[in-house]
Amino acid sequence: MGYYDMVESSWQLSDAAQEYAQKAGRAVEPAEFWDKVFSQSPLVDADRTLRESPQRDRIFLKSPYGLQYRPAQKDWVPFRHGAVDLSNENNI
Amino acid sequence: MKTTSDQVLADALADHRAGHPERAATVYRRLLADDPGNPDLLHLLGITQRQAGRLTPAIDLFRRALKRAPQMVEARLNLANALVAQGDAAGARTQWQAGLVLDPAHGAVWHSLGASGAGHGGAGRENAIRCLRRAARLLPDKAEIHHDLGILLRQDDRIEEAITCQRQALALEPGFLSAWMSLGNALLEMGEVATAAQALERAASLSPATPEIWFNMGNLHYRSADLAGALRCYRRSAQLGLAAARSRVVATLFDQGEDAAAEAALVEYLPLEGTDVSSILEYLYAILIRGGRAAQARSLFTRLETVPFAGRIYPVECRTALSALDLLEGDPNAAAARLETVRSDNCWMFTVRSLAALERTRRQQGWRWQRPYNPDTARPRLTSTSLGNRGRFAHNVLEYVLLRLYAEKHGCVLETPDWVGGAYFDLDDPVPSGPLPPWPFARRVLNGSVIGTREVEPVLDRDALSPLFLYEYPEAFRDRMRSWLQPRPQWKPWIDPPVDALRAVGRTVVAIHIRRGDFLQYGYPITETQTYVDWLRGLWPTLDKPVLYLASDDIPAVRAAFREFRPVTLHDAGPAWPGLEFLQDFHVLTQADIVGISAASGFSQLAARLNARARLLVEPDMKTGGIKPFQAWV
Repeated sequence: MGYYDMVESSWQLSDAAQEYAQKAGRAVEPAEFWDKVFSQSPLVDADRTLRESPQRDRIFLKSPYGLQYRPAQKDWVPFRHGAVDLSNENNI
Repeated sequence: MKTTSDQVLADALADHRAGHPERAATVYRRLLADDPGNPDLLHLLGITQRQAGRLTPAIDLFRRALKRAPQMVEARLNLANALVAQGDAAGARTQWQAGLVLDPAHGAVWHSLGASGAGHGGAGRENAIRCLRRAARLLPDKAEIHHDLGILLRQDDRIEEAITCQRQALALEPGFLSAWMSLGNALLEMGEVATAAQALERAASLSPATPEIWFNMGNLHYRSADLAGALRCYRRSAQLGLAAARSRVVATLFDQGEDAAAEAALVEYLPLEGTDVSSILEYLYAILIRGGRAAQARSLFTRLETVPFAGRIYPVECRTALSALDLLEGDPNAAAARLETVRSDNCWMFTVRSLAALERTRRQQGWRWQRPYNPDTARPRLTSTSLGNRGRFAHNVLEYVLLRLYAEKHGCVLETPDWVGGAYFDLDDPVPSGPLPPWPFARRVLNGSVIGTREVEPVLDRDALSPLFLYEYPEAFRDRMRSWLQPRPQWKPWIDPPVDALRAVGRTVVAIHIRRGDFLQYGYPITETQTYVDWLRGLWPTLDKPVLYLASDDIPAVRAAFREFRPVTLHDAGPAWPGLEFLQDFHVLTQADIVGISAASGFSQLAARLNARARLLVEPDMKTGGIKPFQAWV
């Protein structure tokens, strides 16, 4: 899997969270997102998230990416937490 | 405290930002002499080259910067934009993706990726929309993103969402000219003429000399059948330099019956760079025929077929005009022969060639075919003159279906020009009894009326130009549509034998259609042969004595991929019906037990809808890259 596929996966997880909030029809707190959406995803590095994000507002994926909560927008957007090697464009 | 070189760089940056890139470039070069691998300086110098329109050195500098510092997202964005300007879309895409690999929440990169990601025919549009939605989430205050998203949504027939996006763009930037135009055009498509006029007038008041605005205003007047108003606007647009407006001037004069003025206009426009010569030659033909000047037309188009006009020749259009004359003068053999070897996606040529071939067959068979006249002149009328020259077989058939549903609902007499579906299917619509005011952009209104979601005063006595199709095909229309679209029994000797041949060698006919041709050229979704091959490998052993029929406009290119299933093609299965092979393929698709359609192909979608026998219909799943079943009727 190339890096860009990992980016796409992180955005799809973000979309899943958005869908969950829309279906709920109310304000959803990060902890609930964790319980209902993220903790069930095979993409998520649960140990690291539990260890480094006590508020569950930063979700670490097993890839170099993760999702962070934006309180103002009440949504999740991807961020990068790991190194990527772009010296070879085939890695993209 | 800043070092001297830091201060020099800061001054150069200030100069650059103040709009003096050349002066800044001089300083960047001087600093690079001391520090030749500095990625920031290479990037900045690249920007100055890009601003000066020197793409190749700019690209080189961005690449050198990235070699030193691959994590520079801005340099990747600038490199991608320069690559796009140079025509290297694939290279640009790689750079945008690399930018997102580094920063997955970079709104500007999502915006660029989305804005450039959709092909003309819709390939990649869904993904481009997804990219732009992400960009809009990340940069909600950037009007341009909402505008670009609105344009793609409109192309995707999601007009209400498109209007919302343009309104959002305008809320953020009330002087956004293109958003006012796009809003006006979308509203016009919705049939909201008064609101569309307000939006376009706003655009015109912001920029009175923008030719596109007058073109769109022309469309608005044309939609309201205000031909004088349309002509005024189209003329203004043409005068301001928009080449596309020229053929609209000619068309509007022609609709007004001002043939001499139309002829004068086309003579003026024909030599000008950018004129849509193809359309204008069609109007020239129509003017000459309407004026009873067939001999002059023959002489003129014979000459233009070989003599360059404004540096170019137009053999397809001229030969089509001559073929149409042959047909008009009762010589379908000559008409068909003239176009037999022509390879072109020109719609008028397609219609003339197919009608000539059908007429040639009819004469060989010796039966009469007299199209009726309007039997009830007291009833309102509806027509679509574009059935004969805009779009090809399935496109026009699907337009016909929408028009007929509307005409029947509102008690109109549907008059049709000579068109391929009208000759192939057992239809008996009367010929046009006289011109009707134009009705472009009718799709929404027609759909709303026949589906019952928009019950407003019906538009009657109009010429619905390129009305396009139903948005969905409800079960309730199925039997009626199938009853209209039965081939004339006289064509059986050509369309039945391929089906009979397949049934003779197998008990399960699997017919797959692979569209190529202009789909490649215009960026339509392409059906990969391997996808169908993989799917067939799983299905084949489960079928009772299967036989595979392959329909394609490019059999030599696709046949080999299916060799393990020993595919049958028209060449193997039926008598030659020269010029009408597509109808033979079409008929097999309507009779097969399992039908696999080509992505975005109206041809095989239509055949699947008419197929009353199939137990399985499948289509490419562009998201997963596989094959999935689909329902032809909802």
